[in-house]
Amino acid sequence: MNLLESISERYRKPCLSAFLLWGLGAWWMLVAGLPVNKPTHLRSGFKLETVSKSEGAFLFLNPDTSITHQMNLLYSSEGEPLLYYAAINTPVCIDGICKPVLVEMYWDLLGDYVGYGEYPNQPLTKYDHDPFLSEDHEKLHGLLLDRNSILDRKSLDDLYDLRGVSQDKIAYNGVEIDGISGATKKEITASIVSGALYSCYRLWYLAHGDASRKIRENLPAIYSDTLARQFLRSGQSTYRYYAVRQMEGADFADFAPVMNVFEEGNPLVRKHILKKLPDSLLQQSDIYGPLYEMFPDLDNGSKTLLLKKLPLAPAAAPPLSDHLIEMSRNQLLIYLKQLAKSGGQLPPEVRDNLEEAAQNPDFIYAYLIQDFLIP
Amino acid sequence: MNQFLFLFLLALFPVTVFGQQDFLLEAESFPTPGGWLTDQQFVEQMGSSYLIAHGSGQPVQDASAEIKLSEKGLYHVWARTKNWVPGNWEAPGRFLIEINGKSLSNELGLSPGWGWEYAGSIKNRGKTLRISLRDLTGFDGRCDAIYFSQDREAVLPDGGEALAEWRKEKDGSPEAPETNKAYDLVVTGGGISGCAAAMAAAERGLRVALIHDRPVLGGNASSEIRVHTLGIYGKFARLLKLIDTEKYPNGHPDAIKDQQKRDDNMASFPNIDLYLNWRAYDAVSADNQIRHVDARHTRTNERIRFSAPLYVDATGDGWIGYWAGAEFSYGRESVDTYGEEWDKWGEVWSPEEADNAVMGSSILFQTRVAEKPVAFPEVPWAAPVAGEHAAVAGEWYWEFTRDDLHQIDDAEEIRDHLLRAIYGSYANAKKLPENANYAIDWVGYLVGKRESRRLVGDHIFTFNDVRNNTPFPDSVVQEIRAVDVHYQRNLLEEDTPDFLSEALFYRNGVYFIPYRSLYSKNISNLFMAGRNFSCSHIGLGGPRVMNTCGQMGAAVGFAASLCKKYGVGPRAIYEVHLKEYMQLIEDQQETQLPEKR
Ligand SMILES: Cc1cc2nc3c(=O)[nH]c(=O)nc-3n(C[C@H](O)[C@H](O)[C@H](O)COP(=O)(O)OP(=O)(O)OC[C@H]3O[C@@H](n4cnc5c(N)ncnc54)[C@H](O)[C@@H]3O)c2cc1C
Repeated sequence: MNLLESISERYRKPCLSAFLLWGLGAWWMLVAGLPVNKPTHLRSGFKLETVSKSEGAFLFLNPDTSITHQMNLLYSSEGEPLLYYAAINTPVCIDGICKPVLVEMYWDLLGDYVGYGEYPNQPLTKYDHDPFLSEDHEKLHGLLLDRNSILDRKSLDDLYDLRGVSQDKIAYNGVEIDGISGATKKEITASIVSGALYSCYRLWYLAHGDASRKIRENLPAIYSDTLARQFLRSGQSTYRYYAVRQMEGADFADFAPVMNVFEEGNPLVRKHILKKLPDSLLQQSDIYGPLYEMFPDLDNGSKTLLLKKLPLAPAAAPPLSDHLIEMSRNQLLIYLKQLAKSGGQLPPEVRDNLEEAAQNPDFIYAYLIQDFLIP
Repeated sequence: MNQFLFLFLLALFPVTVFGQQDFLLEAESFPTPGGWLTDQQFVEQMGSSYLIAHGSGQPVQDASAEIKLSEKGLYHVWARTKNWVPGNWEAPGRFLIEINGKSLSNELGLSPGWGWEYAGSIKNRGKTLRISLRDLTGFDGRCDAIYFSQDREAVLPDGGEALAEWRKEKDGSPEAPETNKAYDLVVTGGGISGCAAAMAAAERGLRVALIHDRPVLGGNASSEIRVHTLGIYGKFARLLKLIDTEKYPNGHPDAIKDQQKRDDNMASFPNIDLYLNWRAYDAVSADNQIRHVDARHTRTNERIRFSAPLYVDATGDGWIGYWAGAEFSYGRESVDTYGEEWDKWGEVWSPEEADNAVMGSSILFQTRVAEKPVAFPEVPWAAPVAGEHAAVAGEWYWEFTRDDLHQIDDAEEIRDHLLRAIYGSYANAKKLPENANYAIDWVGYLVGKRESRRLVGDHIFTFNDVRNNTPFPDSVVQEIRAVDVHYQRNLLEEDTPDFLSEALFYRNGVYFIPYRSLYSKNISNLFMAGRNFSCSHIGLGGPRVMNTCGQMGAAVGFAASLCKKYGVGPRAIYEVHLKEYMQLIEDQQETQLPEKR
């Protein structure tokens, strides 16, 4: 299909010079398998110093322009996949005037945007041609990091007229409202570089569209034991989450890295560790010990899961009686049920803790313990 | 019973006389509630409607009642109440009982969990006693009942079955309601879906009872919760525009204008008998057929048994189906149950294993900037929830759910958590000089729910019906809104307050809901409409908005009219009379609306 034809109505009146520039810029895509510039912004935890080589991975499409871009996979000095990289050269047009936007963009191995770099001679500019200030870059980077940005659900026309002026479509009697899609006008303006709506919009779609999906699809092909270990160690919650989800029973036997993730990870990662951890391992004191020791410091969901798993690690139950008042009602019920199940005499320290909590005038669920203690 | 009749009856009996040595005074039945509000939301969990002193930090006006105790001598007085935030601070919801203007000795609202607190004693000289509830804080003190007894050692059951039995014994009420009413259709729940069902059936000539547990109609759209209606109208714009709202920001006071519109329009349907302030508490079925629905007045505790050949469950919580033994689901299905994966969002969209992390409930609030600085009290009891979070405005994403909490069974805890989130965040914001002039105009106290029980129909509407834009022969509801499913932000960012959510949107053009998702699979005379229709967790994501719920209601109301015409149940409309039904839905668009009364 002819490129010009495929560009939507809005881009039909581009000025020739912009296209020339854009054509000139295209050679980057072909030759530069490696980034030319230092990235201006990278998500924390990612470094680019150690790149050893680049491999062409696939082409991806920008549906707005129908332009395809080359995606490259960068490798670390140890020869492991590190980041994906693409030199982007895309037209952004307003009122029929187009200018090319050139950036080098990076994705992690899960397809999440991680950063970009500028070409010194082709800085990002706003509608009025002023170059981006450093706070504009911060904002753009923040916007691109947001996978769930409002931009995903809005067409440009929904939000702004051609000059980038809000049409107040999302106001009621002059007051800002949300509800329509989950962000207020204030939030939208706060997340977009003022005067650069089009560039923001275009770059967000490049960062989160086809490119991201293809990277995700490519991951199983490059995933290895080494990468799995790196993911667990990475400090990136999405990497850790992916790694835990790929683990099968025996993989948990090397528990130290998993425990580390359990300590440092977010509640979602913890949930998956607890769900996937084989029962036979949870029955071992060197595994349930450190897990249950963390109980008071854990998020609510992990607490619930640990309590539900007590039948597998009954020896972990008595020390939890130190934390009765930190349990929600339903958690306490699970805990008491477990104590009842273990039968026989309660250990003295458990009984003491129960009695104390039962008498605690500030403990909202004291009555549950009183009921439990009455034979 | 309408409100006027109720007030009239109360006026006839200004003084309640009791001849026992003890007696029970239900707080919600106080003829003069003052600033105290009726809270009927948690009856199934804690046993009764109660009065709540919801003043956003300003103590509310006394509630009062007059009684006469026939036995002279010393009476002991207890209140059934709770400290709704026990902890190392002064209880937030403290109040006193006053008798003839004199306070009893003990402050109330101090003990954790619903139970009886001893208020003090009075000498009864046989005269009329004026009993008042004096709120001390404006922060949601609550009183369920007051008990007078000459026996200091009286044993008062705290809750559960024992309390229910004890109550029955004290008020001498019979096992079953003594008043019976028969209709063509009994609709329970007066949210947008229930209202639409009632209108559609009524205009086709059915005599309809609409049982609703609040004084105003609209559910989440009402002036008491203040969510604006979204979604398209499908074939039912004519009816739905009578009850919808403007697109104001959630929480906006213009909800009051739309409330008036809705109430006026609903009253113009001569075939609808509105039972406002009536809460259904049971639905009895035999041979998989509902025989009657029992309801209780949320203030007088009077009861009525409603019977009809057909019923609609529009309670949002699927109560009628639940009581009648209808199949229902709750929670998030595992991703494989219906194949609802969305690779981009994985677990936060649809979990690997089923769980209870449903979309949460919300409370909205409204502030304004006053001319002068406005003080706001210290609220140390809110800090554990709000943390450092500061805000002078809320929004839909102030939402609370947790895997270990049930949106019905734990609804009071959820509501209270949200109140702490609001008061705590607002108090933090008020410490900043720029917010000195902010004042609270309104804070909701009814939980705005998104998701709870979903009754199972012949078709379960899922994500795939949206993804595939599945056309059905019985497509009676249509929508173009994105599927919008929420998760709690702290799942991914642990330090975020637990009451903030994030929404994920999946847009895919127009999609349809078949009629078969709107009647119960196993209860042969039960329709459902609104957020408790037959769907999966993700399936609920798109059509749970109120115009769409309204479409479901209207579709059900018209189906009911054909059920009556042929003397059949809901399923036969699909199996035998579908052509006529679909034609009716087309044709009704031209029907003349009733004149406003
Ligand atoms: C904060 C928030 C924001 C939202 N945002 C939007 C939005 O912007 N637009 C939109 O359209 N939707 C929105 N929704 C979703 C929408 O409000 C609900 O899904 C919708 O209200 C469902 O309608 P319904 O008629 O099924 O239930 P409801 O509106 O909940 O109505 C059911 C009614 O039945 C009554 N009832 C329950 N049990 C009984 C009983 N036993 N006896 C008698 N009466 C009973 C209840 O009091 C209630 O009023 C939002 C929801 C929330 C909580």
